[in-house]
Amino acid sequence: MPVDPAVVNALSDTVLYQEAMAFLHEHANFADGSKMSNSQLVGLLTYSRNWAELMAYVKHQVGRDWVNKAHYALFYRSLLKYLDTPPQGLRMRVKSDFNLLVKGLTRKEERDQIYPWAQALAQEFMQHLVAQAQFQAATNRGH
Amino acid sequence: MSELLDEEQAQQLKRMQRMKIMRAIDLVTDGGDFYQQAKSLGTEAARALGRDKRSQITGLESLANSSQKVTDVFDYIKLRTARQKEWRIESFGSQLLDFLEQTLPKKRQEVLDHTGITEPGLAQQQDIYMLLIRTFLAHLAAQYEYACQEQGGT
Repeated sequence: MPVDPAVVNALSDTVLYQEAMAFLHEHANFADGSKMSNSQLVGLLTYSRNWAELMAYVKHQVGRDWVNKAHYALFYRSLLKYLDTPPQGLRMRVKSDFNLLVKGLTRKEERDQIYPWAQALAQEFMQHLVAQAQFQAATNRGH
Repeated sequence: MSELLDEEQAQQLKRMQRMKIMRAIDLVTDGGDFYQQAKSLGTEAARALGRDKRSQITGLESLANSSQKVTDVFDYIKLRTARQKEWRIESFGSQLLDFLEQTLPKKRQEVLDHTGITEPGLAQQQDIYMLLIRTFLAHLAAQYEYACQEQGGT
């Protein structure tokens, strides 16, 4: 089925928000006490409007030479895993956890349907992640 | 014909349930700690933001009235708190966020208790949560305007 905004809203409120909080808590409280920089966060938010661009961006960030900021590479690796690594990546969960695809689709039809859902869910996740990260940085408050 | 009747009955039931929910929200939010908290945070908003930042309170209220997601409201408060130092005065933004995130879900249960709905669907729970947020922010915005006036329009 095509992306249903009501379903995206419900998943955003009940699943993705909590997952964004947990993800940030687990992966962005860097051991050296530093936080994700604002430019990194804005980048994530911008690219999350398109799944292919988001994936290209995150993979590029994983592969970058971070010199003395190796924790960023770890953060992006974890993010890539959350979004797109089988079997529990967000893209796979469109079908497996959230049951958002109709039955009996061909591989191509499934692929055509899965990406718009994955993009819509990823965008919600990023919105929550970035808002919480900026809030934490400004208030020094965890969740 | 019978299908049409079933559909009509279902709609009627939905309308009645909605009325029950609205009535329960009135009961839970009218007076008591709900109103006091909105009043207190409205006064706090006037102190912290002043009249100059009025659009941020009206913006918050409009967002709550137009969005279907409670998390849109949370994200808005987080971003305002991160970007505007006024929202961090006396921890206004954090206090508001805490109330909406921590206390209102308990109020939602009170609403459900009043309606007698024992097994609410996810959509219904979110709907009630959103209605509570809208009611709370309406009180807060009214108090904010009043307190700004009291402060001499600063």
